Amino acid sequence: MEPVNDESIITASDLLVKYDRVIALDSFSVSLPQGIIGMLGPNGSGKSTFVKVAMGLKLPDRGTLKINNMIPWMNIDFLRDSIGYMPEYDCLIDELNAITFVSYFGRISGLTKEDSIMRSHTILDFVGIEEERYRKIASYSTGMRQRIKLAQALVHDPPILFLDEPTEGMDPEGREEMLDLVSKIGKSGKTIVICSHLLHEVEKVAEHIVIMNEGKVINSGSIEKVLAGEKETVQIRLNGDPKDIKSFMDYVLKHFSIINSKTSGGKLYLVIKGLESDREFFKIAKEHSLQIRAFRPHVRNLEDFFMMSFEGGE
Amino acid sequence: MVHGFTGMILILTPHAELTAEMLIKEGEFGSYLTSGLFAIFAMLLAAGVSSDKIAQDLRNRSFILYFSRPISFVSYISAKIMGAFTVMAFFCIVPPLVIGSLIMATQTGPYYSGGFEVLFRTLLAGSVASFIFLPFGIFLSSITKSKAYAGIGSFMSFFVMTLIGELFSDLSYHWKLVNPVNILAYIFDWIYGFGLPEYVSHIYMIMVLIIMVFLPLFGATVNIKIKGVSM
Repeated sequence: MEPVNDESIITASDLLVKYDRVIALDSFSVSLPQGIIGMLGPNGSGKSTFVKVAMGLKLPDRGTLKINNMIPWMNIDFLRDSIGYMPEYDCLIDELNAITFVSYFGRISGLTKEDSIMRSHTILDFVGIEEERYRKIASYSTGMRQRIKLAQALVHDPPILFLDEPTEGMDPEGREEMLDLVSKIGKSGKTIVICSHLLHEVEKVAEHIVIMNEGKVINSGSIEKVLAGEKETVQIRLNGDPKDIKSFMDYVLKHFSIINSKTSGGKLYLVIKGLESDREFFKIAKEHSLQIRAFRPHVRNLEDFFMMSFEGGE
Repeated sequence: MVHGFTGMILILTPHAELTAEMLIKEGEFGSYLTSGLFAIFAMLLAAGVSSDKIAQDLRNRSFILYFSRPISFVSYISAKIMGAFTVMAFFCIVPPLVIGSLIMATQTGPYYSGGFEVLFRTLLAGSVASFIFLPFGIFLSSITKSKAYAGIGSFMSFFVMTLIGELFSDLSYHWKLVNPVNILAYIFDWIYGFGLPEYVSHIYMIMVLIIMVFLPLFGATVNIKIKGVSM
């Protein structure tokens, strides 16, 4: 886990949050820099509770949380002005049209009527809602509803955004477009916290990853570090007789640390750690009458990192 | 029917000036503001107006969007009350003021100062009638997503309180304070300068007002707080 630093936009330290007897966040400490942050974890891991604490909706039983060096529940109005929130679930007013809905929440955020309407048009253009903005929200598809939720979070131009499952219920094309939007918003200098359980989507846009489970941060780091993998870790594909593969595996198990392995008939896929000499490995494979068909440094994806974090690695 | 018929009678009946008695004491066709019709009208209207104020936000779950902005739970409830009050005022403040003004316009006497004072008291009375039934309606609206449940529930609660108040008033006069129609009539008596009836305990009256106004508002705030956090 990366240490807390002064450039962090959001820092949580030793947070404990309980709902009656259920512990939602436990010794939760994290430091989030500016950029797009992917907050990953299974359902019930505490992602939404963290957002509620950040918005000052829930007071922690212990610990502190600071956003831009301010404690949410002590500077609630100022901080909520700087936060945009897109909830996971449907929360739109079906009787209104998009422009009325977005400008209404713009006005609630303190914009004047004129500014709010102008800004709503700009934001709806940005999220790709065209003429449909004058239709009642009740007639919108799931994808359009997600865009409206994003638009209301952006209408007052907050520097920090909390997006809870932003692609929920969208088709693949819609998901891509939503991720593009998030990426564009991120490039404008805003800090975006995406709570999600869709790893491949977060991997596409996030610059920083936080993995949570049972109310605790179990791993975190910048996406480059997370996906860089480890030195002396390689992935290898070998062909040969199943008997030879078995004896080779016995040897490998004794001498290397195996991260991943798969056998299928006469094929073996391995990810191993601690390989000091490539030449030595080739020699041993030859001794077991196996052909090396692929040998390259291991490139990790977010799913590997996620699984490894859950298994207690790194 | 509530305003028009009684109002016409008051305007057409020859009068020297606008007096408090004309509005709240028994006339030939019953008193305008305290006969019970006005109170039942206010209850019915409050039940209808307040029923969907929070229930709608609960139904579409939009109220979390309010709390992601610089709005406190208390401000949210206050805004809902103010919204409902504005509608109520249109039906409970404006018509009595119009009728009072028309009575003054058609008076035969030369003095108007007493009439203006009555108009001011009418403004206060109308404000009370517009407000007093709203907190309970808002409270019921905060516990259900159904507009119908909240609306019918509010009116039926007032109606049952009216029945209980009347049924048990033979046992003790204090039971009269359970009846919302009586509560409004007593407040009007006080506002128009007649004071509370002798059998009405001031302490019980204050307790009833707290129960009718502050308790539901507190309950609604707690409900919203719990729901806002648990969503």
